[in-house]
Amino acid sequence: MDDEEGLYAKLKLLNERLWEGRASRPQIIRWLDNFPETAHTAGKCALLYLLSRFMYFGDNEIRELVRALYRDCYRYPIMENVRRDHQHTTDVSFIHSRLADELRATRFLALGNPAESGTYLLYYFRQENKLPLDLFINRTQLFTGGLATGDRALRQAGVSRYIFIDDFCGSGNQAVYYSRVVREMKAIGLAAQVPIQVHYYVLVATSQGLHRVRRKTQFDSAECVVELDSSYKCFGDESRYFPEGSEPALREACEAISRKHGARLYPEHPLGYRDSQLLVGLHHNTPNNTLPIIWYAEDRLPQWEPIFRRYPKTRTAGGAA
Amino acid sequence: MTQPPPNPFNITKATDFSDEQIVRTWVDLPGDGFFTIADPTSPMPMILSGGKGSGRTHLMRYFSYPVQKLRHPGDILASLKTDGYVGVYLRCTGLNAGRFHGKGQSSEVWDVVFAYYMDLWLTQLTLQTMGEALAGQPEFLAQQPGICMEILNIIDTSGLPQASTIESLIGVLHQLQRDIDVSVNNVALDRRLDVNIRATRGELVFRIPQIFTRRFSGLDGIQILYLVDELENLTEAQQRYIQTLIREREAPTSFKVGARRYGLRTYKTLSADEENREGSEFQMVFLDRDHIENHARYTNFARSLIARRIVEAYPPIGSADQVAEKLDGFFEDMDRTPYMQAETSFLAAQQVEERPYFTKLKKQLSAIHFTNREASEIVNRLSVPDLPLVEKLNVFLFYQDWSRRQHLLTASASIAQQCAHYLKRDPAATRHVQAMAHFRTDLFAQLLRDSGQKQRYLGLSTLIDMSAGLPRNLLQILKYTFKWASFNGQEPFSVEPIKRDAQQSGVMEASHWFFEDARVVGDHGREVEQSIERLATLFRQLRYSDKPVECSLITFSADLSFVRQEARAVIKLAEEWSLLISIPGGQRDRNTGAVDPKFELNPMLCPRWDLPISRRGAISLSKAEVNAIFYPLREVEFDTVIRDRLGRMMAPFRSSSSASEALPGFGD
Amino acid sequence: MVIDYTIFYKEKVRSPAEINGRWDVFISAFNESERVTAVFEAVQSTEKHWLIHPEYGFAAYELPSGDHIFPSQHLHEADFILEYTAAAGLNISGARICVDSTGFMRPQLMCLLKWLHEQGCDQFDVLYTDPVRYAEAERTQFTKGPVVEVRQVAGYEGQHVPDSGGNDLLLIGAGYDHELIRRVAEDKASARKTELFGLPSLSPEMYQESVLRASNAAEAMGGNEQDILFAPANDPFVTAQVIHEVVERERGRQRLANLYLSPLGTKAQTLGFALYYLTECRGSAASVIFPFARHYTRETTKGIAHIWKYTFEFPASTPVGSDHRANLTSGSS
Repeated sequence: MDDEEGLYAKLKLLNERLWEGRASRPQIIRWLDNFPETAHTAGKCALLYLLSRFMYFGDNEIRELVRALYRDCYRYPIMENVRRDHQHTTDVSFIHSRLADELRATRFLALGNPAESGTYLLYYFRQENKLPLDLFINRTQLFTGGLATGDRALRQAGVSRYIFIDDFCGSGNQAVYYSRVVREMKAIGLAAQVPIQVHYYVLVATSQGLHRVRRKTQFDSAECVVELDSSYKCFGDESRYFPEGSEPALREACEAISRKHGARLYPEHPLGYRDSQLLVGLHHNTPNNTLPIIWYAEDRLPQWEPIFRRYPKTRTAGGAA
Repeated sequence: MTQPPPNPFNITKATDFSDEQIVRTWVDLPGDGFFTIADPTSPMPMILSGGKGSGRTHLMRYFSYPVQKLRHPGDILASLKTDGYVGVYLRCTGLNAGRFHGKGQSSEVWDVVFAYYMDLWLTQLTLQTMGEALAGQPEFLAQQPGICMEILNIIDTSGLPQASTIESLIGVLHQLQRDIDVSVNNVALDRRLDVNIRATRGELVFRIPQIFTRRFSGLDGIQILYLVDELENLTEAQQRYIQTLIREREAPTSFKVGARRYGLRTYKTLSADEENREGSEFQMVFLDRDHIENHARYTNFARSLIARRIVEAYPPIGSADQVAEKLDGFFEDMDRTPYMQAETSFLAAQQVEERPYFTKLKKQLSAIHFTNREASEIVNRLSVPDLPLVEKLNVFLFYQDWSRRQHLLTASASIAQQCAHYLKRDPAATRHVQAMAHFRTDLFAQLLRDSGQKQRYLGLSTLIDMSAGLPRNLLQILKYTFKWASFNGQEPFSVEPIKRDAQQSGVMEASHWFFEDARVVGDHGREVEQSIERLATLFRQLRYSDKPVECSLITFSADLSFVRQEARAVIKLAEEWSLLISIPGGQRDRNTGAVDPKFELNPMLCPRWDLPISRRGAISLSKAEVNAIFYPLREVEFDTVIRDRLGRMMAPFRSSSSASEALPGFGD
Repeated sequence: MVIDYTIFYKEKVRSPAEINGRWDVFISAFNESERVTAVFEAVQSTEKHWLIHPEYGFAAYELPSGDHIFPSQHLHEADFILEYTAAAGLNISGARICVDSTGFMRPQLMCLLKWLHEQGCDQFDVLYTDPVRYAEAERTQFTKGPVVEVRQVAGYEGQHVPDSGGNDLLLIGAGYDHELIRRVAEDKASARKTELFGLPSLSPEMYQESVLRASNAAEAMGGNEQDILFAPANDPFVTAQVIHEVVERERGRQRLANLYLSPLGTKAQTLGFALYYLTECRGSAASVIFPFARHYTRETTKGIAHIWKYTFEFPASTPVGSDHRANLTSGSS
């Protein structure tokens, strides 16, 4: 592992190239000052090392990921089907026009509550992929009628595909929670003999979370653009951050510090929501699956200076707040 | 999220500048300017060379027509008359000349094809330039069909369309070029080279300018200057054609050929026994050498360049002249007072007996059976608690006496006495005065090293000196420094000067970058790299020894006549790639009277090995040492060199009757 | 005519047994890793050809056995491929061809694709297999020795235009080895430079890693914060499309005299560069340039993560609205 200078050099590069200036030296030092362990070089280097492995998706990257989401999860499978159904045609205009037909019968919406980060994501998604505004709806526009009156129906006529878009899937809890509506949608569709598909596309997901979504929801498919397998669990058995052959002392130090302070900051989940132990952040927010020492920033005690702060979502019962 | 402040030194290469930027940021040499070094109106061909980043391309582009046009908005022809030339700029890399080689064809065939291709390429550029420059001239337009006809007469036009305008003529020639491209590109897969050579080599290059000037009086007195840049992209055989053109030059054309040092492969022409000679067929200018030999002028130039960049990036800051005046203030510097108290205060705060050089000394004395009390007594005598640098000097003088086998207790007393005089500024304390004058920077460096601190390369002058005549290096150092300052939360060029830590980090990063960037291409790259490492290691060991003999040592001389041929080749490559700088005048050998070549390690490399930036002393290397450093057959050869040299310089000092460390190189 | 490379078929499977297709000729470049040998074994093809790269220095006893082994002494990619195609007596017309790109060196691979294309093969499949694990060293380098020269790849040489302005564009597909990027960038020092990064990357962290490594070549790439391009690291079709769009944009701004392409990233990226060139650059002022070394390391990757199958197609230009193409005889469904 690099010494302190080497780590700062790497962080400087990250700051310049990828982290959008969010981790200059003064900012890093303010964060390090949270930890009494940094009085010793070993402690300081352990924290700098953890920080140097943080994976951040900035504005440019998010924009590219939403492009990839549309292009690879939505668009390609449709074009592939069109080709297969038409003797493998390579007539691009024809394929595009069929794609346009499918698109007209598609609606995109954010997974969670409109006030949550999903909505900004939809905006990027629409902008980057140059999609018409009327393809985007929110949850309140899904149905007409009420459950009580018994005339519940899908409001969008002629729509056969609904795509729920999300930015991050950690444990999968959120997706599972918000997906209750899918069952209802599909039931209505079935009853009306209008088969509909409902998909879940997320930018960044853990393998575990995605797997949970696939198992526990009625989505026709759940896809992500960036998948974090178990090696991204910081202190897990297959951690890429402390591979076989690396210094055990480093890992021990990192884990001990993260746990100790994490316990103060986020007592129920000292190493990130549901013990996810991630080191990931996005341009607009840091998921709470990431180690709390990275992101914790609340108005109440304990006092803490984050390095990639998290803006808390609105709390909902049962959801990951 | 913060928007980083703009880095004035972001662009370090001419190639990343647009033509407008070249004009806008142009800084001329102080005094009579660049045009005196490289006069574009001179008919004598010139080879402009230098290391990477010497400013060669920048200068050549400044001469080129697109930039001439920007420099003189308005009546372009009048401007060209004032300039006295029109610059036709060619980058050799555009030819993709690597194609004209092998693939089952003989080298004679490639010589012919390449020459023809080059002629077509140059001609297209010339016609483009002339066509554009003369577009608004009625007299020229009237002459245009005649000019085109005469040009077409130079080549075999069978099967070619007519052309009565410059534009259509360019089209015809471009098609000829494309035909060659198709043929050459397909040779790899077809094994058949089918090229119709329609003109004798050189004809197009020289006749066309003559046709223009003969037919259009507006071009009287205007030289057509072929600016052939990036010659290093051509093979030796291909360069012979360029040399041929130089030799066969005809008015009104001339040449300025740009080539990196290492890329100048030959001065021979295509005729078997002909070789162009400097001063005879061409003039040679090494831009960086020029800068190094005119240090004051280069420093001024550098300061103007930096000031101009800062003003470009931060216009409110003032005029370039104003900024140039206060440039030093933008960079935190060291305390350069005689005893450097501010720099050594961290030691002054320490207990004398705990200061690292004294701890070491005591250990060394104990190893030769001095008692603790005696050792402490010596330390006591040598110590000057408030002035660690003077203390260090005393220790150094003590080591000198030790190596001369003097009585140590007596020596320490004598040094103490002289020191007292020295501190009272008594000029009679010559030993101290002279030693400090020579070894001050080395002693300070040792102090830092002993205390586990980084070496200090601070202050604008240091940064300029480090660039060793290559403006690009200076820009690179500043670029990195600026980035570090930004990262560290500073706002450079505003209120406070750029702090030390940013400068240190920037300098070190630039040093590493230079070493990587100057990587010699080809099979010998590794050897050159390793030999530079060995040389630098030797210098470092000597610098940080107990009793260095040469001060500020980054220079060596050697008689290379009988060293291994490979070692000589490595040294030559290292020089061509600017890792070593040749010192003009060499070193006169005291014994033989002959002048040996002398080389300095490029100052850009020095921080990497904690070496000084400026050179003073030099060592003379024996044949064995040169071999061991530059082409050892076994690893142990170099270890032996180090051991032998160092033995004389480390306590308890191997027995040596001679006080001088340079033994003449007899045998192996 | 609108060009859209992203319509082309691609398939991803987890094991060699799942590879979908039957071919007449299967061409692979030999190395000892499981991802190359297991695929060769499992693929269903009438003939299977092993090409042997001399750069890897395989001794006779290390070579595979079989009817169609093609060793070579040729280092130049054109000689290597021409020798093979002559010896193999390949009859292209109507044949179903599949090339496993995994073990191939890039210039030779590109040369082979060009040859197939020139011979009139307007459709063939290309496989690529990702390993489970790379040894650290070869994630970073594929050359063992220094770069000896940067030159055009045989078959990918353009007809360039003399230009004294800054209208040359160099598009580098960034890989892990910053030295290669540096050398190529230096070779076309006067060109405008653009870097293409793999995002999404093979594994999420690889994107960040590749950007960091590429920054070591930042000075050679130029001080201007040039455009950065993205394409998925394992998708040649999107790669080709991204290149297409950038070039069209530059042409639109009339800033493009000469185009230089250099694929230094993943194999899939290289395939994308080749596809773009073969489809759009014939006879134009565009070349693929590449840094050549004298020595190359043999790979020792482990395992098989997944196998990609890409179907390369070169449709004849079909006017808008015309009928679908005749049946493609394809190894896929």
